Amino acid sequence: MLNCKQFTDLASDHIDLQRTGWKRVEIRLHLMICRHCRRFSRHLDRSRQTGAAIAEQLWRSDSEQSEAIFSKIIPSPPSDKAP
Amino acid sequence: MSQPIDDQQLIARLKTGDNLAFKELISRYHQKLLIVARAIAGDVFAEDVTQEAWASIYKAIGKFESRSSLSTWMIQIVSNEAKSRLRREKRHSSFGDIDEVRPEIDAECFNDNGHWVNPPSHWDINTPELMLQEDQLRHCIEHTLTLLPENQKAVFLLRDVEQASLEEIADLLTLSEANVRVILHRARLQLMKIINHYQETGEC
Repeated sequence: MLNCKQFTDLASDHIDLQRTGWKRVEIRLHLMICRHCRRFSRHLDRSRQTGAAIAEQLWRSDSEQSEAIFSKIIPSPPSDKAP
Repeated sequence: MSQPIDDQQLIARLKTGDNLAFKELISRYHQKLLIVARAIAGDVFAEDVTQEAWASIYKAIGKFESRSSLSTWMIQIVSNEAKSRLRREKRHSSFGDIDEVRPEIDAECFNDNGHWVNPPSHWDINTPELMLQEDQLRHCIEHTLTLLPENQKAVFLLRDVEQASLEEIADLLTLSEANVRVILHRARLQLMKIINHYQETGEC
């Protein structure tokens, strides 16, 4: 039977459905009887979701950076203006 | 204000050679590709590798066949560029497999039998939607994400933002799946710790 400490080590695997067989049964049984671990699992999942939503915004480049990167890939064509 | 365009619309425009669409693609994905490049090739080569990856993406985008998502396709390209750069430089991956000891919650949270003595406290701000409305909490999370070790940042990005499978992540970053799971758990625990502290104190 899992204890709480062991469950917290497996909580991400539980979220990602990575455990099968007896270990999965043990995790489910533990969650049925332990409200603290249910809360822990809920908090971990919500932290993950909130972090992902913020990362999606954080890990973006602004238009100036994008322009600079683009210009290194495709150099600007020469200007049409006469010298 | 213009509406944000989805990946399908973006792909359609990219295939017609629309350079504005390509700049939008860079805006959406450059930082992410850089994180993956850093995790594989290290900080020294990451900028270079990502630049090369963008050049490859620009040349190949017309032939993109949507067998995978656009982001998976691009991440695969930057991963390949990073690995081949490492081979050229005859260097090993910047982070090899780590020990598989599971990350732990503070030992004082449990008694000798492994049961909670300091169980998780109730969160008043208890949904992602509510948390996203808290400016200071957003700032705490942004700070934490920025300071995550490169391997945790890459694994968190690939799994929780891009929703890649653990098997794909292991392949992209040249890690074992067991290591990917440990690294991912560490990143999530770090985020949870920061959010928990904010919920209890109202501060980062």
